[in-house]
Amino acid sequence: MRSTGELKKSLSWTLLALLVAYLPHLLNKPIWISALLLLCMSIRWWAEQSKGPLVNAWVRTPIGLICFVAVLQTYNGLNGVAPGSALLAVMAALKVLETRTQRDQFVLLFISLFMVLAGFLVEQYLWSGPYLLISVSVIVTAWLAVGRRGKPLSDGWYLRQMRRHMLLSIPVLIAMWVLFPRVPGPFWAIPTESGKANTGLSKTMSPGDISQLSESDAVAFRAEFDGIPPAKDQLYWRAIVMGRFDGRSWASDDPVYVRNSDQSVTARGQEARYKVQMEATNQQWLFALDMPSSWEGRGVYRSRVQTLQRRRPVDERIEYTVRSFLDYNAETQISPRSQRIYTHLPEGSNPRARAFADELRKTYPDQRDYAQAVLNYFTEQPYYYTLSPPALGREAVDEFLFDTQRGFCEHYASSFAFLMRAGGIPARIVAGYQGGETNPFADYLIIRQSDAHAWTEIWLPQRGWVRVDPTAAVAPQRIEQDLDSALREFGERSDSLFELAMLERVKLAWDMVNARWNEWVLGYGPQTQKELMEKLGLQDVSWRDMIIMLAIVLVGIMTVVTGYLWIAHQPPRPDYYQALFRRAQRRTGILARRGETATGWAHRVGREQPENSLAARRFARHYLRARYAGNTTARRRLPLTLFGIRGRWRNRFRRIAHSNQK
Amino acid sequence: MRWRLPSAKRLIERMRSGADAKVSRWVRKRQGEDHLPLTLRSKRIYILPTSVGVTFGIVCLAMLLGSMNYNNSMGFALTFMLAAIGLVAMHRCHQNLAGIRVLSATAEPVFAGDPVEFELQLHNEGRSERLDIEAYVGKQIGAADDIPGEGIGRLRVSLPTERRGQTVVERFGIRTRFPMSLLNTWTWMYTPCTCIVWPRPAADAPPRPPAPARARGNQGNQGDDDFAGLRDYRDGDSPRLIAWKTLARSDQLKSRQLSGGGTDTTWIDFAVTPGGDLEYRLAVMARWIIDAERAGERFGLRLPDGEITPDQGKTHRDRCLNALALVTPVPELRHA
Repeated sequence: MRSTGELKKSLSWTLLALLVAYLPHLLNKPIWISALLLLCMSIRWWAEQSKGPLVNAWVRTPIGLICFVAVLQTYNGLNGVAPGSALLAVMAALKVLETRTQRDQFVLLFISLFMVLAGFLVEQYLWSGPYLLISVSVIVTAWLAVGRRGKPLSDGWYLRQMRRHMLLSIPVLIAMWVLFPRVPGPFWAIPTESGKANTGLSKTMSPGDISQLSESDAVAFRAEFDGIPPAKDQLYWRAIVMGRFDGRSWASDDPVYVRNSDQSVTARGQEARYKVQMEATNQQWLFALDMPSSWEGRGVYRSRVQTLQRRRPVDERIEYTVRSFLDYNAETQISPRSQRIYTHLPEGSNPRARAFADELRKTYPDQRDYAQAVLNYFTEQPYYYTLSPPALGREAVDEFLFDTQRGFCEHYASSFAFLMRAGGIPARIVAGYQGGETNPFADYLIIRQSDAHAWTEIWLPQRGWVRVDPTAAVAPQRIEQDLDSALREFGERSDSLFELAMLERVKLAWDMVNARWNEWVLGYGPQTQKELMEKLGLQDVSWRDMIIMLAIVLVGIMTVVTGYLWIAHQPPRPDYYQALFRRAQRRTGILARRGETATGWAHRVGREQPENSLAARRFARHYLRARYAGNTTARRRLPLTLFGIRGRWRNRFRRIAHSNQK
Repeated sequence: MRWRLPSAKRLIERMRSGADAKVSRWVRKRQGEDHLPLTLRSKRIYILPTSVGVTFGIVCLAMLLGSMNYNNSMGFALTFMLAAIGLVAMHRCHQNLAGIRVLSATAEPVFAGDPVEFELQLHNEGRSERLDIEAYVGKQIGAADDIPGEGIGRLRVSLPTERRGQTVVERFGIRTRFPMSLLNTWTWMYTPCTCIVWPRPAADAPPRPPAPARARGNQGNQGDDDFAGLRDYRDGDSPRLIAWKTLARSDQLKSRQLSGGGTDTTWIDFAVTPGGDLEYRLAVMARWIIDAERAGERFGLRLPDGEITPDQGKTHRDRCLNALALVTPVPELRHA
């Protein structure tokens, strides 16, 4: 058994590595696991400091069994990242208690690596990049400390070795990142992490649902167009279609997938092509402009109600490309079944609205005239656009239309669809997002949760489904500009005296960094790789070619690395130190006299150039120690002390003859 | 079933040592006999992953599969980073050994039973230091040490001894696992190096028999009464022989030469040692030699295969002990 004292230095590094690796898990693990790990680390640390005994195996084993059962109980099994990393943490805690050899410490470091990986599997952000660098640096430092076989060295020494190692590794990392062939996964089923609450749309819509979302500034998705983005009032991002109404709430039908070759949508005008970078929603729907015509992306389908869906819920950030017809005919033929579904209203609900619709329908027998008349009604009556409408009871449509008259987009969409159905016109609610903020630093749109919106579609003969947005009739600013300006118009938000333009710009710049990071790092996959290769002028690169390219590049990099290491192990040039001294003289412009020592020269520099006094003496001190005393530290630092001497530019290029004349 | 496990272990052990011997023979044939000083060039440097390194590789592979399956970019980044670190570690490990100059391998004689310590002198001609270098012979590994840049390092390996004779190291190994213990870089040097192992002085040795010469001469009288002249002082002369008066007079260190030829000279003779066992008799002689030297006597050594003329001092003692160690048959302990 190794005496505990020997571990001292490397043990603290090992514990630090474990701590850094556990950091991302600290908040999303049950508190008892974090507490157990920290407690065990403290106990072990204390045992090391006080040279006390380690915890007995008779105590450790039952604790281990109890913890194992507790993890099973907490997560109902062991499948998935969360229970897996919880088990890892428990294992680490118990391993820490019995750590006494180099081997034990290596086990802990391997656990730390897996813990870092598990953290990334849970979630990846912009800070995952710096975190990766920091955690790997700490783990490598610990690795160097544990792997050290001679006398333990100072922490600074391990850190320097780590820095050197990391700097040499980074070119290899970049080459592998770019060239390692990415293949579309997954190979085996991944358990989806459900139960995580995400802000965003839901499958049903009751009054008040969307206005809640408006408070959130979180990014829902980003879209980058090929060419000029369409006008703001064209940007209707559809996600969910709701056709079932119970008198108060709307609900979506379960999607029915149709094939890509489906011809139910035909173009009437221009087409937009764009790439969407979507945040995780844990839902199946994707976002596409009215109306998606074709798309690229694995496992993406179009439903019968012209929304894009994915087989697997979107549990991570994804990217996909879509083409949409901005002017379209959708489903010019409607089946009797659809006709029945989309005109259905619950028996006896909202009688006042129903009576109003009957009355109006008699005046306007034409369907378009009738729809226009309802929109006009919204405009003419004192309807008020507000984020905080009064609560509504059972007959929500009636109360909103005739009593409160204050509402948000879902109120308008809901009552419009109701009035259409009451008038015998097939109608449905579409939920999604409207608009988006252009990022001036890079040409893409940011669509936030606050852009959530609901509108309606009505079915007209020969024309198919037509989008009607009753909110536009009440608050046109919402559509033409954004929610803020619409709310300002209705006195809901005051203009701030100081437009926080600067802050706004910083936020947008930050968002751009985020978007680029997501695109090139977090979203770097088979598709991005292919695009990058095409940008580099390589068409249709197979994965075999990539492997060969990678091998060639790696051999090149490693040759350079070996050359660098080889040079460091070569004997110095015979006049290496003299050359450095000459460089120091060149910098100051003061040449050493024949027979003058470095110290004498430094003192003379100090007299003639007071600003270089300290630096020159520092150089001379290191020079003497490096050249004559063989001091390792001085040898390492000597070239650096040169930079402390402030010289004039022309001095640096002046050549100095071999012997120091004068 | 319990008894099977160790036997399986032994089987693996035997297979390993068999493979080791095969590799060793192949390397021996490839490298030939080495002569110090020599420089460690890539040709004679071998590298293989350690068990930690193998685990590291498996972990990298597992992480790669996981990252591919979850299509996790940061997972890829972590995996590639580890792979890069491993690759760089491989080159650093190799470069840490390459180019070292081995100057010498030496060992001081020891008494049987004491560990013999071989010392390798290594010269690092390069600017940066070499770290965690270890010397080893077979399974005996010396302490790791660093060799400073443009400096000399001394690596030591201790080997156990049992009997008097010779300890021969046929093959020295120098290895390093720097920087991360992921890889083991080593070199083998076939530079036979011999260390003499003196017989351990017998603890229960009988007292030395009185010298036959003395028996013949004037008994009871000390031989140093017969003053014959002065000679220059030699290392190891007894203080009793120093001519103090001469020293006080002339500042010259002289020893008194005593008359009577061999009268005060002891012979340590193999023939008079008790017992029949050769090793025991040599051990007794070793004891007598040490005692005689300690007493500052002049003594000679008679062995079955020759004799050493009487003399005194530490050097003479060592020569005598060496002769004892090399009495035929010389037991030899070879390490490869």
